[in-house]
Amino acid sequence: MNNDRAQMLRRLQEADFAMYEAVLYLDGHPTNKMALAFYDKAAKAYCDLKEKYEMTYGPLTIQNASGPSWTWIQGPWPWQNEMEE
Amino acid sequence: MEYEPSLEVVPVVEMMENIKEEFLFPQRISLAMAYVPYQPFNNLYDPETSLKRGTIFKALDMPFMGGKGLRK
Repeated sequence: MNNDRAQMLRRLQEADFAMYEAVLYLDGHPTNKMALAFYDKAAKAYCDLKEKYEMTYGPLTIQNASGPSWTWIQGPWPWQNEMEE
Repeated sequence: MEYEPSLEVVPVVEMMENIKEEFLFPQRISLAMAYVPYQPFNNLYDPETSLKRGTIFKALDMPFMGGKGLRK
């Protein structure tokens, strides 16, 4: 996996994590305005990054695998993942 | 008789210093029950640090220190 791709995936994981942290907080504090604003921002960042990643490197989830051909099988497979940290 | 909760006995760590006391706990609480202080939504890490530390909340970044409860 090249550096740009790994980097982009990392950013995506970070956005995903931030979003889910807000989700957990909002479960317990559903009217907190700051948390709601944070969630909106994080969710948008996640969606934008995911779209950008998928445009360049193919689908991350099966819902977006369809295309001119079945893009899901275009590597790398999980066991080919060389990204480390 | 009204029970006046004493915030003195609560181990309020430094992260809570800027929080007004009335937001930490309800004013009236029952005896013999366990309580969790109200968690404010502030003091957040940036996304990169959040993923590394496992939380977006600086106040919840509490690595296990072998029972010593010290921050590194």
